[in-house]
Amino acid sequence: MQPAPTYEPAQLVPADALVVVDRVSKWFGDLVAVSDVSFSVSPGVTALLGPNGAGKSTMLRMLCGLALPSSGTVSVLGKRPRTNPEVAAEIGLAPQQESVFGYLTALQFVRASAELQGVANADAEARRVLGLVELDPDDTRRLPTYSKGMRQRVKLAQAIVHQPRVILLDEPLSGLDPRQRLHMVALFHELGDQGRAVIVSSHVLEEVERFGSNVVVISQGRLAAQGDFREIRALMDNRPRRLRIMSDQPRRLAAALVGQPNVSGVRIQGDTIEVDTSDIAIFARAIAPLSKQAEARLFEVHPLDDDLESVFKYLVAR
Amino acid sequence: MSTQIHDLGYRAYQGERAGVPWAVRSLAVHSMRRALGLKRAGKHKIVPVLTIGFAFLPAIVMVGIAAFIPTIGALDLIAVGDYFGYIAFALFLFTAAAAPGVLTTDRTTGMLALYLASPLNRTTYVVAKFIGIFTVMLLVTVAPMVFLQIAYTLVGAGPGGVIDFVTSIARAVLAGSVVAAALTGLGLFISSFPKRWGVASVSIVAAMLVPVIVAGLLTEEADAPAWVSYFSPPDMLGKAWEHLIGESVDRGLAIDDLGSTSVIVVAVGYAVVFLGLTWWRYQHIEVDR
Amino acid sequence: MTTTQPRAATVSARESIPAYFRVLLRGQLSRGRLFGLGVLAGISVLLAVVASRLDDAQEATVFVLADYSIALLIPLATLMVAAPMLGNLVEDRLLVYLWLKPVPRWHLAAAAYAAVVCALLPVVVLPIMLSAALTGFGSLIGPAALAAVLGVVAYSGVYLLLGARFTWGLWLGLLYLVLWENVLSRFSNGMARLSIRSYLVTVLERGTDISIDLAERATWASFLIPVAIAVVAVGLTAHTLRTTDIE
Repeated sequence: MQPAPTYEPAQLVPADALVVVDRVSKWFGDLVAVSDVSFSVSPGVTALLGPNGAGKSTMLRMLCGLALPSSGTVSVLGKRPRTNPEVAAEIGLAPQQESVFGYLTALQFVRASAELQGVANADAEARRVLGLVELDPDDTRRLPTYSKGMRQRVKLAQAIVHQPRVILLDEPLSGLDPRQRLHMVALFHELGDQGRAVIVSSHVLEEVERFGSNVVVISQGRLAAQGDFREIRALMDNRPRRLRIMSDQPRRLAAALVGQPNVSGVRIQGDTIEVDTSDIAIFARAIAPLSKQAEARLFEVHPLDDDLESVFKYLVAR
Repeated sequence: MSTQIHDLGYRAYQGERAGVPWAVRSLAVHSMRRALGLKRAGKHKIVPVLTIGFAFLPAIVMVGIAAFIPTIGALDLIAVGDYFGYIAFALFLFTAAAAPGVLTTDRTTGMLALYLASPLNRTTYVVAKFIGIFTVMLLVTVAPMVFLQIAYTLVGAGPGGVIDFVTSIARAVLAGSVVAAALTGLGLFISSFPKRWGVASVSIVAAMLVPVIVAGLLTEEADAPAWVSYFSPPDMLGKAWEHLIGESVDRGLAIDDLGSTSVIVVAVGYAVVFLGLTWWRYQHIEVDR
Repeated sequence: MTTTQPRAATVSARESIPAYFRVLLRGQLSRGRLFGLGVLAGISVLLAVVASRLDDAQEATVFVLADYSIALLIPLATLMVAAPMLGNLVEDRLLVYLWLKPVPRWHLAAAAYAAVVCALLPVVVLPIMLSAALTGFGSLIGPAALAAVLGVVAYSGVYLLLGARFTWGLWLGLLYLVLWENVLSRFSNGMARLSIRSYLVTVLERGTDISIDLAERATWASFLIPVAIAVVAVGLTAHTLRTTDIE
């Protein structure tokens, strides 16, 4: 395993980073919620991943300035959000909580948000973003009558009505049906493509994969990994890569694989073989000649743990 | 030892089911714990401890005086019949703290729906809540008086003779129970409306203080007839307390002109009416979670 | 989506305070709350009607104003409106939607205070003025109105702060009202100085020649202290919003 790099923010922070977290910790009495976390977020969509209680929501709150770090610094567009209220003009937050103002309609809520953000033509902008999230701006029903999915979309609308450069979304897909999820994911991509930093905290890993490959993984309050999740997987050289091979001669091929020095495990399930290898590059070069030697035809060679869910499981299981 | 596999996965419970009485008992015990802040963080115990402490404080002080100043006469000590007046605020505050905490939270957290999905129905739910809060209320209405009576007897300032002693204890229990039942009913009824416990607490205190002040102003300043006091629950409870203890005092107020029977009937009536109104309210509450 | 237009660093008070005010005031107009306030105010008028028919109507009216309107109506009504103004937002975790804005925190505190006062003045001051007017003693109307306004001003600040600062803010306000103002303040002059009620009844007493219990404050203090309490309380509310972690 490669030693962890010594973190020096001046060297590792990209020039286009909109959010910079530098050695941030947060504790509540004896409970350490976030411990010495450092990362940066550039324009595009970044997924903030972690199991329940990992510290994701606490981190999101610190990024907005809602909570003050116990140590370390958070910078949004070069300023500390907690002590510079003007930074809030460039931050949009859709928090996790389901509670809503019981006496407001969707339009009233989003318009008020726009007014407080100093948006000109607050009413027109509120109507526009409500349309963007597929809600009727002329709906006279109060927010508590809305379904969970509708409330999620209202929260998203108020988060983007002022066109912030940093958008923080805590479980934004919760309660949405599959079609709405696809629509929201497309919207997040569009926002990211516009040069905004969209940070999404989510447990829905198959959707997160569609956001893109940039992740920040927090586990037990600590930064477990950051960057492209496929590259993260490649760095995990202490975990064998698992592949599925379909062949017309599985047993013969399996027998041949067992003898390979970079193969640590072989399982036969019907006409498929699951192989664990410690060096994917060597294995990739060797499988074709090995099959030919074993007079076995290869139908499929498919990586089983190259997806985000596998990477996530490996990271948080440590 | 024989070899067995115990983990067979999910299986339906096949054992004996205790039924609705046990469900009522369980909910009542849970309500008691919640009202006293038991099995919860320390901050939830502050108000119950303070109000119970206030309720016992006059008794403890009087017993101390009686014990350490032997020459003090019985007339100089707080009579059990007067005790309500000394602890009325503690009773109001305890009611305002206990009742909302066990009713409003069930509606806001969605627990009411879960309770009604159990063997409990709306009637047994209300009964369980009443039993729980009533039992806890006895800590501030009966326990201090019984303590005072026993302590007075031990230091020689109490009733002489076994029969007198037992009678005094029985009267204290009866008086305290009537007051506890009425306060519980009032607290539960008011708490059945707002969803926030803070609003319910303020409303309960208002429902106690406003009638007292209004009735006092009308009867003492405006020479209104004495029956106006029937509409002031705290006044009725205080006077019923005195009558049931057997130590009614004429202070020259209009309420002293009311007959003891009518006062006691009204005080008991408050308990019945408010409990009934709470039951009625819960038959019509819409459970939306 | 259009390109971001540059905006001012923070939103001006002229824009933000009215926007906050509208959102917050709307939340206070629930049916239950209006009913409760209406009952409390109605009782004040009813008592005044009764007092007006007595032989010593003026004295009876003064007692009604002192022992009900000032002692109960004003603080209870204020408690029902002021403590939940920000307290409910904190409890429901909705404060984030108002806090995360490019707005100095004192704008939110000021708007909340203004919403409380505007909600209470018609519900509290008008019935009290009406109560005084019904007795036929015009000289009572001014002092009663002044005491009511000062009471709303002072209690609103205190209860707004308690609701914003403490989870149990409403209960603390209740304890202050029941224990301190109605019980403990009667024990000593020193304790009475910490009772807002004592300043209000002093204002009322100065407008009549009837002696009122607890009305022992200096006249100048009776006007200045309630206002000072409100200013300090709103300032502390703004400080709370600035320094407390927001859920």
